[in-house]
Amino acid sequence: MKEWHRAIIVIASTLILILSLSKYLMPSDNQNNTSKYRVEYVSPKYSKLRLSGESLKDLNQQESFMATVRVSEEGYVPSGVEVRTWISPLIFTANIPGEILEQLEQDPAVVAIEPVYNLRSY
Amino acid sequence: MRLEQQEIFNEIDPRIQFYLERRARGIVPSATASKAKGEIAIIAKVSDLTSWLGRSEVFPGANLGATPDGTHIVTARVPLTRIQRLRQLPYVQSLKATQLLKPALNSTIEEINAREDLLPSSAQGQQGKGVVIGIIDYGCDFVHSNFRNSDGSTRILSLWDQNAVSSPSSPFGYGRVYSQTEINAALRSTDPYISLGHHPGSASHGTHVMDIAGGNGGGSSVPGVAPQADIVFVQISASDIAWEGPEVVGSNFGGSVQLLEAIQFIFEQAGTRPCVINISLGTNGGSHDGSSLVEQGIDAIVTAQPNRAVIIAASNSYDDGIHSSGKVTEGNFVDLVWRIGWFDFTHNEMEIWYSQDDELQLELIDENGQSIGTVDLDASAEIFDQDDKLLFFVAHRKADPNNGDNTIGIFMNTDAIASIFPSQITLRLHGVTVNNGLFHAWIERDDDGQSSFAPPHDNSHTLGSISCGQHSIVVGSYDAHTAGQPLSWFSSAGPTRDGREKPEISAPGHNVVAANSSTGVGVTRKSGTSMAAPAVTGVVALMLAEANSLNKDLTIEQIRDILAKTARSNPPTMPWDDRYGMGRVDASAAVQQVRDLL
Repeated sequence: MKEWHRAIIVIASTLILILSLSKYLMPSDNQNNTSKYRVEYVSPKYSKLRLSGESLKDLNQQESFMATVRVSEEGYVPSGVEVRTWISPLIFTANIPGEILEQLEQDPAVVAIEPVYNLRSY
Repeated sequence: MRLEQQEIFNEIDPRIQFYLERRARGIVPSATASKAKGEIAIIAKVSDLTSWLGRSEVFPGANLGATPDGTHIVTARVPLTRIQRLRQLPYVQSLKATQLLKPALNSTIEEINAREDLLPSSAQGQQGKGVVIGIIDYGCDFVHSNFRNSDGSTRILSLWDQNAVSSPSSPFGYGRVYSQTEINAALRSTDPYISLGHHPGSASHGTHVMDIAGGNGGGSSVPGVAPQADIVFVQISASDIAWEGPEVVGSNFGGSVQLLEAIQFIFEQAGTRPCVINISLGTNGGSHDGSSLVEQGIDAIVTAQPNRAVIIAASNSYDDGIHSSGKVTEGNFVDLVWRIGWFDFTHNEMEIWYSQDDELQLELIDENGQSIGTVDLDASAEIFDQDDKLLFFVAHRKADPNNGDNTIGIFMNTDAIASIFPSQITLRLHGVTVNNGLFHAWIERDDDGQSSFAPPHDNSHTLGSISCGQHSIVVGSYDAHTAGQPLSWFSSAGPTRDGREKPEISAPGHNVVAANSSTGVGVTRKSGTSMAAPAVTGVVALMLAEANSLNKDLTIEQIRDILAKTARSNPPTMPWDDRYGMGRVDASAAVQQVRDLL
């Protein structure tokens, strides 16, 4: 067999192998380079914050937001948080400036933050 | 001529005379869903149907049939200005104005044994006397006679309008509280709504709900469940709705933070008096295991002291296709198909919850089968189209702070043009590491264009977002007007995601006729678990009043146990049904059980 014949067989085999493996490497059979979509991964932030469409909008558009907050120590109020009212020794409603979210994320005494969301009548 | 007119006037139905008298004073009947301004709805008996229908002023309704003497009974809408002329026609034998729906609340209080004569003869609770019923809703008609004493004074202890302009004395720094004294002063004025500065709008949800729980029938002739109770009403506000202007009128949004503050306010107003609060509000999202902070807050408040209860409507989303669930195995996947619709311009959002013992990978696939992308656990992603328009934000979060479970949130960018969104998205859940495998998904509520999962639907677990708490009492709806008391088609189903049996109980919520705001004495018909919850709120008020008369306390656990033990079956046929709960509420048996227990 001539050298160039061998080269063609090797290249073809490699292509077949790559094509065979590609279906396992790609998440779906139909994903390809002509995708109509682009996915951009972002670092997850604010694991203590309940996410909702409304809260995402508020975080983008407002300097501060209303929320219900749970803390792990009775009566604890994180710096920068304005308490509206105490619901229990561990739960209060609050006004929170968006700029201190990172600080609250690092605060071990802050358990969870639930930004206000709308309720409708049944 | 004058005498002749008066003679005809007297021959007309007294209700039509009433309208004519009002017209003489310049008061014109307002438009309704079935008639135009200046018209009234009538029932006529006519001997010449063809001539009747040929009258240009007659807007014909139904022909109800012929009588043995050959006349016809028909309905119509006619201008009030032409009513006397029509009555003079030789073939018109009778004209009657249609009546208000008088059997207001009869079906509810009879069906649940709450009517005074159906309660135990030994009962001393005096139909809720001494108990505070709190209503958190929209539109409090303090003028309606059902909420006034026989001397015309108000039964409302206080009304906190969270939307009103704030003052230094506003509770929690916003809105305005109208005291009983201020309400009574307004009631003595020529226009109480303007005088007080609070207008409920027409056919408001809150007035209807308030009447079912505690109306006294002073205007509509039939009382609600606990007609002697006192009332505190909170007009709830939303965080992103204008405080003034046209958006406020008819608004039916309320914020979760404002809800907690309203609950706190009502219990503070009640002080040491027994108090039960009705909440007929909610949405679809959330963990559905009672761990949301709103639910934790409600639990904390009702368990802080005895003689407190919070009653919440189950939700009306049973038939909306908003829930899906399944089990993923390791190395395999499960598909969920989310149908959004080509012209859905409104907000769309979904949450998927699964065990902290599992790791799943989310893959999104468009309607053509093309993979959009994947999002691993503990990752977030923004998904753009070819024109770099943001379509979705996806957050796949590990260990929710309230329950430790993993959750996936998928949020459509509502600022993008709807037509660029895929009309259908397949959410493929790949099992990466699986020990449990169970997952539940909910599509968020969107009254302006609800998206749904592709059928067949799993309508279990459709309780509302705040209806899964540990210590709230959740109420489903059935139809008290139909033999067999069938479930209302809309009434949501339990259990909770963590398997607890909610709703606890059910009550009539179908075609309930109760107070109609801005009518003074009138009623209107509404359906929903919103109408079922206040029936149970009223029953709890009767229970608390009975315990109070015996100088005893009731904890929320005791209240729940009594409601469950005394609930009626057949239907339901099971000890716990995922929509009826433990059964249909029985006011009389619950009051008797309080007496037996204490």
